[in-house]
Parts: sequence; C-alpha cells; structure tokens
Amino acid sequence: MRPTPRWQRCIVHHDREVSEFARNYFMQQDRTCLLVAGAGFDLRSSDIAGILAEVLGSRIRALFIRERRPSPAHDLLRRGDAHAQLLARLVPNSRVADVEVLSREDRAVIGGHRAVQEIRRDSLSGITDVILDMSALSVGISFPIARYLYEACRHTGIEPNFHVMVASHPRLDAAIASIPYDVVDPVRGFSGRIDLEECEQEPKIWLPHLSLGRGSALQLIRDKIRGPVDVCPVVPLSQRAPRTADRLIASFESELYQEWDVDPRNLVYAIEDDPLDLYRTISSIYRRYTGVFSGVIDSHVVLSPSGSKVLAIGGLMAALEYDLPVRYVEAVGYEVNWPAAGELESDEKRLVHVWLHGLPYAEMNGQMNAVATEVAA
Amino acid sequence: MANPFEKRATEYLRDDEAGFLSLISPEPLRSYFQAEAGRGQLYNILVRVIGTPGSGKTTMATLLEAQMVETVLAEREKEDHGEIVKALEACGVVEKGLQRIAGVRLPMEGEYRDFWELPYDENLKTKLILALIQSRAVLGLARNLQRKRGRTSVEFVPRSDATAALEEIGGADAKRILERAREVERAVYQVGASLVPFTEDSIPRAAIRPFRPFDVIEGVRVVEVDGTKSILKPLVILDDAHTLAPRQFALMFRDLARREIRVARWIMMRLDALPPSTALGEGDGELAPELKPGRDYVDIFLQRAEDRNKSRTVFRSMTRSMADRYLRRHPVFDRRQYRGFETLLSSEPDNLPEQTVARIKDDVARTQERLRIAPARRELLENEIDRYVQGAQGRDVGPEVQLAMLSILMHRYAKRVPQQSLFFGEENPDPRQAIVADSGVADGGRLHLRHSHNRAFHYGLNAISDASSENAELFLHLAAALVDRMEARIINGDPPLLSARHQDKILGDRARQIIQNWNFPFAPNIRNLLGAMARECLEESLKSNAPLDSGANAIGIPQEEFESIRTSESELVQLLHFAIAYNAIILRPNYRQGGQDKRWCLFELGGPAILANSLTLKRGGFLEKRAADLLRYAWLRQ
Repeated sequence: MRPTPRWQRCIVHHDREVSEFARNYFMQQDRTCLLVAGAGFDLRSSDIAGILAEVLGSRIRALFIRERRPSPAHDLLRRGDAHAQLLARLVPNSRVADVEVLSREDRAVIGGHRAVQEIRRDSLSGITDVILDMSALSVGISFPIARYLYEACRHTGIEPNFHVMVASHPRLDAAIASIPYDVVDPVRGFSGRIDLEECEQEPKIWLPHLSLGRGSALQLIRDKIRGPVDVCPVVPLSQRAPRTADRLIASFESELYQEWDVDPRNLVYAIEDDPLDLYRTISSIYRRYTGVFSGVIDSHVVLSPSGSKVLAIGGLMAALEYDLPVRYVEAVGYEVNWPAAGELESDEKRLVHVWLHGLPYAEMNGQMNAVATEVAA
Repeated sequence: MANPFEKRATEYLRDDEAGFLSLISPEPLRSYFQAEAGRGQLYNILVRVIGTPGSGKTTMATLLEAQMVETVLAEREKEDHGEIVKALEACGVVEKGLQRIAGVRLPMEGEYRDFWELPYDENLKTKLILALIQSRAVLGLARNLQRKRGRTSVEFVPRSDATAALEEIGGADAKRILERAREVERAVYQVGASLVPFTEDSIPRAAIRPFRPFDVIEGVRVVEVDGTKSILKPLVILDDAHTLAPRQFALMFRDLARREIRVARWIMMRLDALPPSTALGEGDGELAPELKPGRDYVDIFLQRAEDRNKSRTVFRSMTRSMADRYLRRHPVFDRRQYRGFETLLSSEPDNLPEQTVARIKDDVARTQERLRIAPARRELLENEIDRYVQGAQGRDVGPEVQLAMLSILMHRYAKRVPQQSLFFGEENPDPRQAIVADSGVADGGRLHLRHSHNRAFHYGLNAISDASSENAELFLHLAAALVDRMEARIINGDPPLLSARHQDKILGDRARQIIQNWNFPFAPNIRNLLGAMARECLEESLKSNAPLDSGANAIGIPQEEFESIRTSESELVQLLHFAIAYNAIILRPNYRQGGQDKRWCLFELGGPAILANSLTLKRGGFLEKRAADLLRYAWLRQ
C-alpha cells in the first residue's frame, strides 16, 4: 500500500472553475478528447457536452450511452430521444450506443458487460484526454466504464489524461425515483473477493450511501453481505439544505438502529459537493481497518453508492485505488416527478471536475521522486 | 421496536441460529418432501424445488444445512426443536435420532449468470460454473462440518472406482482436497469477475483443469468430539438457481442429472424462471429430450398441491404456529405475556348499530313489496333461514346477516317463479326449484353487507392465512400490519385485541399497498388486469340474488383456448407467467364445473387483490370469459 492515498493531492474544480478549466485547458489546439456520457431522460445529459463542444469544436468525439430498460414510460423515452438528438448535434463526431441494462431473455443485469463491450470498440489512439461524464449514467454503467477507461489510460502512459465530470443537482436526484430490482449485484469490475467461500467469515465494513427512497434496496444489499459486518452509513452534508442529513437519518431510523445496529459514532458525514472529502474518509477507514487486521485475517470495505453523483465519484476513487467491492441494486425503471423537477432553479446545479490520471500526476510523482532521491542521498 | 413480522426467518440468521430455529415452522418439509423421501428419490436423483418468491425455499435450504441440523439435534429438548426433528426424520435427513445427510446451501447469485456473458463457447462456460459450484460445495460442506468438530474431523469418502478422478480433486486427503477447491474457486471467480474477459488461452489453468468432486465423493466421514465416527451423505442445495440464463440453466441441469453423481443435489428456483409453457402447464420439455421427470429428476412444487383444501388446512396450521413464534420475538408482546396471535384478533364482527339494522329491515320490506312476495312466502323463507341458523352454531348469523340472506332468497324466489304468476296469477306461487338457505347464501349476505354497510368481512387468522396464497412471506406482510396496530394500542395503554372492523380495514390497506409496491415485470399491466377482474367479480358478487353464493374471485377461459395460447410467445403469456410467479394470480387449470364435461382454466385473484377489493376468499366462483378479455383488461384495450 502507498504511504498516502493516491489522490491525497488531486486536481478538482467546482462550478465556474469547471468552465474556466475547460476554456483554458481544452482551448489548446493539441488537445483531442473522447467524451463518454449518458444520453438519457435526465435533464443534465447535455450540460457537460455543451461546455466541451463549445471549446473543442471538431477536436472532440463522443460515445453517448443510451441505457435501455424494459417497458420505459413514454415521456422518459421521448425525453431520452430528444437528448440523444441534441447531443448528436452538439458533437457531430459521435455515436449513440444502446446498452441493454437487463437482458431481454431473462432480465439478468448485464449493463456493465455491455457498456464495457461498447467502450472497447472505441480506440484511444490519438486521444489526449478522456472525459467520463457521469451525470446521466447509472452506477451499474458508469463505474465499469470508469474502471476500464482509467486502467486503459494508465496502461497507455501519462497520456491520455482521464477526467471525471458531473453536473450535480441533489434536488433533481430526489425528484427521480428509481424502481429497484430485487437482486443484488456486484458492479462489473468491482467484485472484490467477498463472495469467495473462504472470505465468508472475514470482517467487513459496509458503507451504504444513504439517500431518500433507497431504503429497501440498501436493506436488500445488507441481507446479502455474509459474515460479520459493521455498517458505516454515508450521510451527505449539504450547505444549501443543512437539514438534509437529519431528514435522512430520520427516514432511515429503523434500518440504522434496528436492522443494521449502527453505532451513531459510525456515521460517515461527507460534504455533498466534494468528492475528495468522501474519498479521503474512505481511504482513512480502509487504511486503519486493514492495518488493525493485518497479519491476522483479511478484511473488506464494501461500498454501495446511491443518490448523489458527486459522492459516487468519491466512492469510485476509493474503489479504484483499493480495489474495493461495490454492491448495488440495479434500477428496473425510473419515475420522475416532472413538476418538481421543472421547478428547480438552474443555479442550484453544481459542476464538478476531477482529474484522475495524466500530466499533473506525472509531474507530481516526478517531483516527489526527486525529493525522495535527494533525501535518500 | 422493529416489527419482527416485517422480517423473513432467514434474516434472523444474521443474529443467531437459535433465533432462526425459534421462528421456522417445519411443516413444509413434511408436506412437500415426505412423499418423495418415501419413494427414495430425494437423495439419489436430481431434485428441482420450485416455488413463488417468499414460499420458504431459502428457509428450508437453510434448515437442512449440516450445522443447523447439528444444532437442532444437540438441543432437541428445546421447546421448538421436537417438531423440527420429526420433520427432519420424515424427509430422511435424520434417522433414529442421528444425522444422515450433511447439507450445504449455495446461493446462486448473479455472479454465476455473469459467466454466460463471457465470449467463450457454451461448454467452457458451463464447465466454469460447474467447477465453481463444486469447489464451493466442498468448501462449504467442510466449513459446516468442521465448525463444531475442528479441522481434522472431516474426511471425504471417495467412490472405490474413481481412482483417476480422485487425483484430479487433490487425492484422498481432505486437506489437499480443500486446498485444491480453494485454488479452483479463486481462479474461476477471477475469470467471471474480470472487467475485460480473459482470452480463452489466457484463462488460469486452475480454472479449467478437471475438477469434479461430485463424481468422486460419495460420503463424508465425520469424527465427533467423543471419537465416534459416522458417514453422512452430502446434499448440495443450489438456491435461487433462477438467476442463471435459461440455456445456461439447462446445461447445468443436464450435467447434474447424470446418474454417476453420488452427491445428493437439489436445485431451488422460482416459478417465473420456468419457461411459460412449463410454469403454466406441466412437464419441462425444454431442458433436454433425454431427461425424463421421475426417472432422471423430480420436480417438487411448493404450491401446487393436488388437494387444495388439504393444503389450505395445512397452511393454516403452519401460519398459526409461525405467527405465535414471531409474536414471541416481539418484546412489547413478550413482556406482557401475549403469546397467541390468534387470541388478539377478534373473531366476531362488530354489531351494526340498531338504526342501521332497522334501515336494512325497511329495505327488505321494500324489496318484498317490489317483488310482490306474499307475506306467507316471506314467512316460509324466514323459516328456512331459521332452520339454517339453528344448525350454524357459533357462526356469524346475527340479525343483519339474516336480513341480507332474506333479501337474497327473495330475489332468488322472484327469479324462480314464472313472471306472470307474480303479476296476474296466484298470490303465492311455488318456485320451480326449492329455495334453500345455506352457508353460501349467508356468505353472500355478509359480502353484500360489507359493501352496503361497511360491515367487517375479512378478519381472523384463517382469513389472513387464506389470503396469503400459501406464501409465508405474504402472510407475514399481512400480519405485520395488524401487529403494528396492536403494538400502538398496547403503547397507548389499550388491550391489543383488534376488532373485526379494524382488521378488515388494516388488511385492505396493506393489500393495496402490497399491490402498489409490485415492481416485477409487467406489474403495471398486472395491476390493470387485477383491477378489471376484481371490478367484474364484484359486480357479479353484488347481484341481488347472489347467483354465485359467496361471490366470484376468478375468471375462467375454456381450457382448450388456454392450451392454444400457453405455448405461444405472446405478451399475454409472459404477463400471466409473472402474475402467477408472484402470486398476483393463482392458476387452476382443468376445472370442471358441477361435474360438467366442459373444462375451464381458472385465473383466481391472489390474496392481496381479494383483500383490497373485499371479495370472497372461497374458491370456485368464476366468470366465464375468453383469452381476449384478459388481453383487454391488462392493456386497457377496448
């Protein structure tokens, strides 16, 4: 294990900084980008693509993923079509790939497999920057893609750079209710080892991200994690709506204190708009936990992201670094409270950009290596 | 306090085995497995156990795990364990008080299905999952048996004629077999979980080297703490096998059905995983033509009893014992010594207020006048009702029920005399057919009163049990709502006893909530279908002469029409498939009405739809329809 978390020092931009970064960085004519994003009913589908297309012009190509679920509502389908057309206009050098989230044959969860198959069709040759926009992608799709792209970029070298972006809107997330499936799946690429027979009795810490309306799905996950489990629920702290955490805890009261037997000291508070905050917390939990059991028994930290996309990035970063298992319940469909979604203020929207791999880290590592060599000398 | 009824028995396993054992009712083991055990099939050929979600498959599989059986036998003097031991003996797991079978349950989670997505030929994919299953079975079995005895206490007993295969699994030494199983599990798991699939030639060798312990092992020798030795037959239970892709399942099934395998193996799966033609009928022709049910495998359906009345009675007794066990887990009730769930449910409907009864009486008088029924005829009908009431001791036959029965009999009478007789003919003509008051008429009267005067209709433990469609989880969901209300009453300082009116309302509300929360495939269309079926059944049930006595709760289509759609791939068949698999509808094929030749296929409303619409729970009343009507109901087509 590295002495410090990989992204202890990490390049992150928020809101206006994201647009400024895009203008300054992608304006350089030697930048050529591959954008991977969702083309769904989500109102945020085109926000990031719009910003990038404006700066990059013909230097961007894109893969837009259309998540297909059985029997979608007509209005969702109509909006998805409209967003796909808009995205294709914004980025002419693009393709829209339909990804079946559930198998037509037997409704097995196959979205992660299919998404990786799609992404493998696109070569990274000649690309300097790969950008994953997680705004309109579900966890079951965005996490496997992120892992594939991250590993592919790292494998290639310092470039391509790998960025993750998201247009976050917690109240919009709350207006979108997912209808959970009745099976728990590992997110593709994030299976970990917890399902191995030999790991059954090994201690586990489970970090479910609490969000309204996801109680039954999280309960399902809890029931499937075998062996001794400590639950450390992740509770978002919101600057805009400070009572959110209290409301969440109240709505999860029965799960927290009766079903999962959570020690109140185990609640993990994470700043809603800052993926690094959660990433650092998970890193520290993982490091301490594995340290305690080191040499005695293997231990596991299990993640279950739900709700906020920004926090999902924090979980993703920790899962990538420590190869953590991620368990989730796929959505079989969505119901959107359109009147509530329509009333949302656009200035509540938050943009986040996290630079996960590439030039800055090469330079940073280079400097650190130089310092280390100097100290050693 | 969390309501224990909201949890399934297996969820208590997280806490302790004793908690689990104190909750489960072993009755299903006897009901569904005893007969096959008697035929000697259970542990010799492949067994497929099929049930709806919540029918208790996992609970049964968990109970049969070696460590659980050991716990039961070690503490057989405990209050609840005696019945469990008897049930285990009935299905051959225990013989003369000694464990004979060592079970291990393998949950077939989505990771097995993932192999089907890999870009290999289907033989390789099947080989991989079989290796994963067998390695986990060996490891699980050892873990189960070593828990109380220690690591050196378990030895695998190989077949004498399997020398070559024995080497493949690591030899005769248990330690080496377990090491090899661990190595295989890790390697195969790595292949299945990889983000980018391995190319065929880069698959780790440990994953594809032959490893078939099921072909080699025929027993497990265990050494007890006191030094005694015994040989147990391994039983591998693949739980939730419906997660596999259909073709993947068929290939695995074909392999496990081989007669050379000496390990007992059961596959547990949901009804909806069967092909629609099989789920809606009989025999599974899609598995493999060479496999014959009864010879190569046995199907055990957890809810397809031949004698439905008997199975309802058995389920009632199971739910009674289950409810009491769950109630004991609730500290609020336990502290106050409330031990019997049934005693907390009033079995008498609340009397209607006197003014209401007077209004009903006036209505009946008006009906008599409108139908021109002579006072002497009314008296005869009242005498007939009196005769029934005298014989119906202890049943709900209060004054309002008698009046409702009288109204029904008057309408029947009016229909059974020639029209002209009433208007121009004799004063009090005799009907063409005798007018009889019986339990059907009484039920019809009660149903009318439910809808006209909101008189309680569904109450008491038997009603909850019957409304559960023989599904333990559904029973717990329905009972949980009542327990919540009882708890609130206790906390407010009131006695927990719930009146019939309260029970009726709570059950109706919970049933509507259950239906609203369905999220399985075609759920919106199934809600439409049930809504339309319930409306039509209600309309028929509320006819003034109650032609179907207690009313209708099903629709029937001609059996030959059902046969013609059953094997099709139509959306309707898929919809029915899921509706049946999730207990929204109960299928009753080949129903003959009153000894007639014509056969009907009945689609009975499931318990929640019956409760939500206050229909009868009695079976048999149905409306004659066509398949096209089902389609129209489900897709709201004209």
